Amino acid sequence: MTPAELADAYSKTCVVVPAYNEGKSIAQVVQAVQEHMPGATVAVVNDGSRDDTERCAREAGGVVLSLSLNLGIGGAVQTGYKYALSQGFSYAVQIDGDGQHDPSETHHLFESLVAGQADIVIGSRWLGRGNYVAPRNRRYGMKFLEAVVSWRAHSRFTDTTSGFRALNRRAIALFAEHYPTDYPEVESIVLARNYGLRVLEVPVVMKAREHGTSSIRGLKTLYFMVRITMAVVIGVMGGEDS
Amino acid sequence: MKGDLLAAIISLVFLTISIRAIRKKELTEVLAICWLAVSIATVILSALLPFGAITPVSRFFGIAYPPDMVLVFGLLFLVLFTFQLSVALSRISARQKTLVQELALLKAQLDRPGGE
Repeated sequence: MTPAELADAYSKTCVVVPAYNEGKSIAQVVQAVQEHMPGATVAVVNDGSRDDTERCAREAGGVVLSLSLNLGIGGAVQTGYKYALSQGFSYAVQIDGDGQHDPSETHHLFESLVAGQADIVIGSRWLGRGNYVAPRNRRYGMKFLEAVVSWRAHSRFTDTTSGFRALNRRAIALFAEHYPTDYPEVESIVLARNYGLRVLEVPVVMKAREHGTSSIRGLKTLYFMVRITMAVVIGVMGGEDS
Repeated sequence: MKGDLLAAIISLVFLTISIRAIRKKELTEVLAICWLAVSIATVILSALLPFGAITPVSRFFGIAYPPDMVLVFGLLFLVLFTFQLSVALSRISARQKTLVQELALLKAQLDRPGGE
């Protein structure tokens, strides 16, 4: 892919940044996206934050989609995809609002996407690049999810909880319509595969989160595993939209 | 006999509560009918129970002690009803999600310069 092709793709890209109480890091994330993905539109989905996330995101120059009630990560991300679909964007990139994902890595995701080899490209921490280290108990959980998802999606996935991904128009349309609610990253891989989309993983470098804590820890981890397994195995993708 | 009297009083109180709720429009129509039916049924049951009128019915179901039959059917009703409620709740939260999302998209449209 030539730089011109990449620039052209970025100009048709909506970057979806879900943010819940990320006032401390959101401006940096928006600026990093603008710096490394020139021409792209940044849509920050403010998931009913109680801090100044909305103001910080707007001042940094992002489009802000502000949810009146906290919908959780799934509902927030889907709002971004609905926006991308209605505004006619060709591509969408999902980047977490906590600074964990590095927008300068996005071009790795776009390689196969723009070439039309995949509908969704997911950035994986575990494919050799970078030296991201997860706490031990989380590592076991991730291994487990990897096995479940790889089984259901009929191909190997190494980083099922990665929220760093790029989508083409077809995938945007699917996720605007159907998107899992509770633990969407994992479930959405299986969902997309069920709809016949091509999902690909590429190696990326991720940072440890700058502020805030993971939404999943402690006893919740166990609940998380049970829920995911149920959702993935039964194929109930976190509730019908009606 | 004291127990029967208590059952009758409780069921009458419950009937009054449900009628009051319906008159104040605190219940949607379907649920109002549902609870009205339940409270009338309990009133009838508590009136019939002391006279052994439902004993043949419980015998038909193979339940030796008639009040047990009331418990079994009561429990069955509760299980089905809570299940129905959780289905309704899930549907409502899905609709709420869609509403909140569309509201956010509309707000963003209005915020845009020149957006109407």
